[in-house]
Amino acid sequence: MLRRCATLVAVIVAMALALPAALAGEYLVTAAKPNNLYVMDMKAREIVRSYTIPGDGTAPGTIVTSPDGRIAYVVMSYRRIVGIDLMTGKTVFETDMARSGDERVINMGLAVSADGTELYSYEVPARIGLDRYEVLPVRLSVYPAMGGNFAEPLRVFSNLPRRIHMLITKADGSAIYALGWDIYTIDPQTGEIMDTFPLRNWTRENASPPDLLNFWPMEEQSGLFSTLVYYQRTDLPPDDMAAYPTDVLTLDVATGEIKFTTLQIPPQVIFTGTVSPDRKNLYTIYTKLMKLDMETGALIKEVPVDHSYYQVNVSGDGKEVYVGGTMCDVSIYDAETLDKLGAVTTPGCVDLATAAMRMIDLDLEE
Amino acid sequence: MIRTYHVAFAFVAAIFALVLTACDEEQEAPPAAEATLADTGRELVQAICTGCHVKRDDGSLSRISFGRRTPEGWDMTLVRMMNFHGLSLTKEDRRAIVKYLSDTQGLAPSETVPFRYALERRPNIIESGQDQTMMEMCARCHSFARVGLQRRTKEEWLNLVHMHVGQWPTIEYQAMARDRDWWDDARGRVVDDLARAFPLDDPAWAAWQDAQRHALTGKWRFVSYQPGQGYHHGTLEFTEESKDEYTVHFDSTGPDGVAVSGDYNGILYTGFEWRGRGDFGGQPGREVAALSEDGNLLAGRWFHAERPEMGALFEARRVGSGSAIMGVDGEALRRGAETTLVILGTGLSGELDLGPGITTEVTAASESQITARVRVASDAALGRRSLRVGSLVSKDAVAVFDRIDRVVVTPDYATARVGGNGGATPIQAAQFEAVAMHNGADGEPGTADDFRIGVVDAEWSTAPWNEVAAEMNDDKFAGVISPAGLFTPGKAGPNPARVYGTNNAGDLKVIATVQDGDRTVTGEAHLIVTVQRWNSPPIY
Repeated sequence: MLRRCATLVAVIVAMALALPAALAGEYLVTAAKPNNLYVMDMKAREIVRSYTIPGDGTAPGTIVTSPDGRIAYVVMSYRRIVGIDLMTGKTVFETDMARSGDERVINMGLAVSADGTELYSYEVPARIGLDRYEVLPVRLSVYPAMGGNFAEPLRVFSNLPRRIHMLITKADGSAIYALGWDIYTIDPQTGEIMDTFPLRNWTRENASPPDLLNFWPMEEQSGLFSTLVYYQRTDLPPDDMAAYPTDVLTLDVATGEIKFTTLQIPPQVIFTGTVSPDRKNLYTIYTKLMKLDMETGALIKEVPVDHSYYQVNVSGDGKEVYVGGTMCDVSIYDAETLDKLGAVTTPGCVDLATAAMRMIDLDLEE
Repeated sequence: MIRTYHVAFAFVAAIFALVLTACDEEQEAPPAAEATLADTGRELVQAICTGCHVKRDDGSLSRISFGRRTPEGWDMTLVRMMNFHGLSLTKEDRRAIVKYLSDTQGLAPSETVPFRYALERRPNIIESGQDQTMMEMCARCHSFARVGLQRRTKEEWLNLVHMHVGQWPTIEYQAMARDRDWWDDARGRVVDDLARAFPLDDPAWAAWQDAQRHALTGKWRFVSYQPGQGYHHGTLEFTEESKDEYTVHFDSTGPDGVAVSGDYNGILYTGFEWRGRGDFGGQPGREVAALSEDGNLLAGRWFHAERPEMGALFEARRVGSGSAIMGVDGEALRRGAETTLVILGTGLSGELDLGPGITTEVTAASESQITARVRVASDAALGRRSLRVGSLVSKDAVAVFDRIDRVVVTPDYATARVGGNGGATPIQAAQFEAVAMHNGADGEPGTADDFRIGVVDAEWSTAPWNEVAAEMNDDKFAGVISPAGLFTPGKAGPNPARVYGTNNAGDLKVIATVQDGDRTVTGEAHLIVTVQRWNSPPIY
């Protein structure tokens, strides 16, 4: 939210100064196998930029963008991070995260600092010796965001637990939130774990420990990171479907406040959920698109979709919902009626697979 | 590095050969014995593997010398070296290395017994009897048999855990891993348990080193029962072409009475692990069997090379090593009826006797097959009973029944997989059989006096397993079942005709309908039709 405000202020200032009045537009950034990066103008229903992500890797995954929307950092097949300037297609950042030639590293969490100058990467390394592997401690590496082709970390912290799968930056830059067994609040300067919010160790009554896993950060439109949480009610018999509720966990990136809302729906597979810009609704996706009330968890409407989708995002004006990932289309739904309005399909129908889908504000005509 | 060693080895071998030739010429000594496959394997291990595996003063090689595996296990290691670590091997070299390592660092027969189902590629096996933690830790991705068919030192089990994380680093994030301190569990209690359960040093392996070895050379009588089809039987003639390498000539008669002959070849590993391959009557076939310690019984399974679910358990007995009843075709004997019974075996001689109330008239008899007309009195005692041929007894070989009370479909839970459709992975079919059951004297199903009547013909159909499957019309898309109970799954890939364009997966009931006089009796099984296996290693 803050970033959007900053952009807006910049635009107003620019207009006031009577510079060429090209308003920033809203775009959807996503990627497809093996190495395609797309900028889509969803209102115009078209791909406006198409880039090739250089180097190895056949499966783009997590995508995070700089606060000004200009740089997209893409995790390629877990093993490389590549930063692409969306205006020019130029590679501004690249690393395989290895600290030595015999390391093989995967990324399991990526975030850009609030001021856009640093990139936070949660890394799971192993050393591959001549005749054996050696698992190394996990680490949080902090890279310069414009680190170039062989980016080297500025700081490396090795005090974090294993099994972290998501990093989110606090809007004021003072913390990184890391989702794992619990939610850890980390000092980006020292790596110190300043606070731990219990998930595995939650004290909720009559509830098993929760299960959650998410590689698709999508907090940009509401300022709320959201992820689905599955658990079992231990006060109900296991054959009762009501024993398997689904919650949405939201984390306010401005305040750090964490909330749970229990969704009033039967147990089912859901891949992701995104909160509307006005924070009133949650949209979820897998084989159906659902719109739920964020306050009560009540189901407002659901529609079947053409095939399974992994991700859902929403336009900044809250009027359109985008579902993508899996196959080769990002489909557009009316946020109110959930009627399908159209789709943007990748050239040659290449698979979007598990690539993330992010919304940015950017003036591409600049 | 590896290639360099290869060249170096070839050079050394050439020099060696030259020296041998020179010796032959000068001394006119008898020709040196040709190097066996295992000899070649030993040379190759020393020449190639030492590129990365450190040779210690005691002659041991790092990693390699501290584990024991089946031939399939060693081959999977080599394939991993080839796929992930740049090893390049010819087919012949790979065979030789597997032979050498299986011979010198294999598993004893008794060590393989609990897990032979995996080597034999038996379909629809649900593993049980293992600790739940170990199942979740290992068998959520592959069979537990893959683990149980290895022996390692504790350090090597730990190295294996490191390899898993290094090679598949998302392992910690999967379901049944992310809910626990996976890494601490894996390198701690799991390694402890594995080292205890499957240690490198085992008395069984030590004893097997001293056990007498038997060649397969000679004639064998084989009988195999293929679900959905019936008995195949005939002879195998093994010829040892070079040490432990055989060609096999087979003459077989199938359930339809059609005779098939052919030749294939194979290798005897570790003194008892027979692996055959070749053309099995027009199909690319494989054979996995274990030779008994007395060298007279070969038992295992043959299967289609690309469709391992299609195959049959078999046993082969060395002709002349004794007599045995190996199969009874026509086990279900209805009271008051007359039927044909075929007894398959080896060394068969003497009177056929089915006990009181059953008269027999032998219509054809040889030492390997007896065909008889059998008349069952209308008051013959109900139940399973033994069959005698001379002094041989086949316990509970036949059933006398008056009615079919129930039908049990086997397997009761099966998996089929979509495939084909231009993809690299073929379908996996599922074969069902209808087994007629009698409720016994008390007339109550599920009690101790119930008895199996035998496999009967049925009319086969499928239906959705539950409401969700019904809503998705799974029975219309997932595949079709033949009159012989063979379920053939649908084609792979998204199906635009289905809701969500989903693939032809399905959750089905398989229903056998059996006519018993005026009565209709049905039985059901559960069939999951799922997606392809994307890799198909020899041990799942």
